Amino acid sequence: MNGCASEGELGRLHAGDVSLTGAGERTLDEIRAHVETCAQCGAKLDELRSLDDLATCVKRVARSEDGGLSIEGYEIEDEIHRGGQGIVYRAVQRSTGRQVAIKVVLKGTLASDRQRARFEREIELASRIDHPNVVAIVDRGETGDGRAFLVMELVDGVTLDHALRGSGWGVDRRLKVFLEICAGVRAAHQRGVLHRDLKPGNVVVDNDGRVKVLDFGLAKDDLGASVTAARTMSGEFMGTLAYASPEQLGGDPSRIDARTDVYALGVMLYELLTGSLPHDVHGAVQDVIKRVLGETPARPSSIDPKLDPDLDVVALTALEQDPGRRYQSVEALEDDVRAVLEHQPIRAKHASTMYRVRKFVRRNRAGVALSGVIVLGLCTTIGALTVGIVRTRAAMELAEQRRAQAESELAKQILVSGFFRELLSEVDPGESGPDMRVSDLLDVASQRIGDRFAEYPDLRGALGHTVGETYARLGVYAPSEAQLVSAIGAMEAQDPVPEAPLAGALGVLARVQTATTRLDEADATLARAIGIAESLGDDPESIELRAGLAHQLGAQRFERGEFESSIRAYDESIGMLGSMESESARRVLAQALIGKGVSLKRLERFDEALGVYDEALGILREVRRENHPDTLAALSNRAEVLYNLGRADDAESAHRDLLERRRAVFGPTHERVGITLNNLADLMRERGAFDEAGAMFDEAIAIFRENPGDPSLRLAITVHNAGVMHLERGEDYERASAMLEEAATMSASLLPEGHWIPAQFKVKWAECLMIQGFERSAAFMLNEARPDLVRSLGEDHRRVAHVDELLSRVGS
Amino acid sequence: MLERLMESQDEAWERFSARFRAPMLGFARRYGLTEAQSEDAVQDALIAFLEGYRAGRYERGKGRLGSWLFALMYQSIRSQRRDGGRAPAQGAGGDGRTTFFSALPDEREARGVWDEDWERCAIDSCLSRLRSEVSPSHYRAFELTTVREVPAMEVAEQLGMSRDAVYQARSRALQRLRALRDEYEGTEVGA
Repeated sequence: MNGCASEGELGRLHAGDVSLTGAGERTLDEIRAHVETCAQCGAKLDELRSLDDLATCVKRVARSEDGGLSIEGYEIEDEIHRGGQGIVYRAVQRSTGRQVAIKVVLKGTLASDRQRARFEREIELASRIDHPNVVAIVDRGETGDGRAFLVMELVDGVTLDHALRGSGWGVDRRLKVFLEICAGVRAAHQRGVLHRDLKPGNVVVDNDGRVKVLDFGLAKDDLGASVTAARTMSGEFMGTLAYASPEQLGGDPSRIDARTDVYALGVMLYELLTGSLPHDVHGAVQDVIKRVLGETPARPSSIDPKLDPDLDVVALTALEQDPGRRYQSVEALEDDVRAVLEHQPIRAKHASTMYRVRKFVRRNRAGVALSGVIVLGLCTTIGALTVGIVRTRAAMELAEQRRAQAESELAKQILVSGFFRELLSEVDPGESGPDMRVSDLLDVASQRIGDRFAEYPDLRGALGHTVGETYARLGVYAPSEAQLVSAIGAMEAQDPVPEAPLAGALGVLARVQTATTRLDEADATLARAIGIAESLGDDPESIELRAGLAHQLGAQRFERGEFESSIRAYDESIGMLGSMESESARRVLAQALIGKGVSLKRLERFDEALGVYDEALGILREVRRENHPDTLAALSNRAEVLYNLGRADDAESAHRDLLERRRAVFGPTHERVGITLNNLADLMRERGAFDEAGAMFDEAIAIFRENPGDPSLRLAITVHNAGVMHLERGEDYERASAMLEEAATMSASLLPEGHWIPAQFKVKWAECLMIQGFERSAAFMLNEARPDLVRSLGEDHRRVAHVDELLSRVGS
Repeated sequence: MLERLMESQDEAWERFSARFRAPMLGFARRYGLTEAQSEDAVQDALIAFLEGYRAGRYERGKGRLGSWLFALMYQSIRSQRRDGGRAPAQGAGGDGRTTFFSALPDEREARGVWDEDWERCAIDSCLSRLRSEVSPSHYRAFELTTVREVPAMEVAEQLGMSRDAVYQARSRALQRLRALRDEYEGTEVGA
């Protein structure tokens, strides 16, 4: 035996590994004999032994994360990646035998209820993305110890950054890869899912050369918020920073929308074209941020002169600092990249009058639009509820003009007519019983549209849009969204894509997302709709479409508490519609006026609000029947303003009249009846009629708790108002406090952080806590609420002054 | 890191906060503080730490950093509870909700919880750093032998390495991990 033991030999000795692998290896006895006589080797062995405790500790911790990990239906094989958010395992799905990847989210990653809710929601949406360029989520659930997990298809391949190295891909190949990435991102956006962390490391090129985007729907921390904390980080973080948009670096999550992903795609395009990033990311984080926010990247063709100059325009448009100047949707970016590939003019460069004229001509050349008019009329015993006219969208664009098209159109009309005839005969109230509802009809229709019109994506899109919109009008949001998403998918599948109907369907989807308090998704969807609509011409239908989308923008700004901005959006809509005389335009105008009135009311500009409501009602009397939901909504808002103006008797009388009308029209348990009950109860509370108010609040709360389609914000508001009533009544502070707490907690879980509604609720809860003697808790709540109120209402608002006064009373 | 912290450089402080916030926040949440209260509790504890550190109250000989932070966090949580009064319990709602006073921490039990969380965070953090420092195959060799207890011979076959190279990779990874663990605990201060 010669020479000291190697590290490997000492390891073998320490482990007691007696196996031999080949000739020339020393046996354990030989190694041991040497170590016993060699002080140096003995010390090294002791050193190895001293690491045993640490090894045990590592094993315990690592196994506590994945330890005993067992997921029903899957055989866990191997850990394949460990990242900041979770651990990814290779596993086999027992039922199919196929290999999958399972991502188990680390404990603590989703610590708050809000984070968990957001994760659930995003995963729910992401799991609906079915696109060849997106890594599919096939299952999800919770492990035994409460960690969320996702099961994804396992992609055998390498990430894009690795694939690019030494690939020798030419520009065309790179652009095609880029288009595949865009296609995946677009599919996600259509389902309301933003990525927020697009980078080459999140794109996999599989062994067949297909591109797949990873990690959609994983709740990511808003990058901006982590920038400050991560100033000293490097490596992975800097890698992420290179793809972060200016709005992410600015730390304003409310500005993050689909265009944020467009920016990241722009960085990837730039990198694909030039091999370098648009901004130098070396050095201190704050310096990098300064560069990203302050410098325009060099033109790609200045780095590689062989590049088509149009690609400069495309890449730099995607990389615009101001999201409003970027491509407004991934699709628009894709279109231009494809145009470069096909040597066609790009849109970013040629958005001129001539371009619009050309588009207008092309659109009108499309000619015969499907305009079958199908009347759905149903009576229920609750009231004569008429859906009205459900039209297949007149604006629907059909494919290329051919002689055979006339026959095809006729066939489609017959198909649609037959479909509705069959539907109506099946859901005849005479056969289905007296409680037959419109939503029952829609349920049957939505079950069949997919199959019946499988070969006609144009009809599938148009009918799905109509059914989805009708569900939305009824306040039944889950099936509405399902239909709209399916319709949007069908529209996307057409060539050419029917732009106006697509923008319209996206607008309705944004409305549904807003109604279900998913404001970030709604903003992304609406941005896409507006992007498409802006490229349309100046014909009345397109103007009406844009006005409708501006109206929706107003509604979304309102939901965020941005009232001035909301009014500006409504004014834009009103301005577009002012001179239009068609009935549909007048209806949209009335809605925009109502929306503006609500924002004016919130800013306590009551006289102006009353004026716009009266104007809206004047229009509605022309174009809607007396008890139409829009008319009733306008009357409801007007009654509220009457009260604000001190006309309490008029307001009470108007609310009581409205309650009867809504009960007759919608039935006694509809959410709109709940809204009126809440409003009337609140008015009666103000007038001191606590018993009547209490009974009405209870009825409204019962309606909202029972209504599965309700987004709960109404419930939170009603519970809050009932809590205020108990507070003012002064008989049961415990109950008042419990209700105010529930309302504050519920609203905070539903709305974006910093929203004014939870802030206002906290103030009222603080008042209750003060009466109960919990002054420090009250001060805590008030200090939490104040900055949010200032942001929405301004430093000088009386509600802020009220908070200051309360704070001074609690000595804070 | 702590030496630089002594000079109150923002950068070192931010790195310090970023590293230790997670276990501290988790601890506060586990004892029923709301999100906002947890943030406040952590902030208070970190500020107390900074003040104490600058005043020279942290001495290596008196115990590990984790122990000191535990004492500060425990104090901070008690203080939040006292000041928070009827602040809402996390996950409030319905009759079965956890009330704010229902889970007052027993110090010994809290210490056990803290130590467990602290150890997990420390090891996770150090493993992440280790992974970024060593080659993927060496890390894999370390992981398979140490965590999964796969025999070195099998690991060698799987990774295309010699068996002795597997043992070498394992022992070097553990040595480095120990250094990272010490660094995490700040025991280099004054060394």
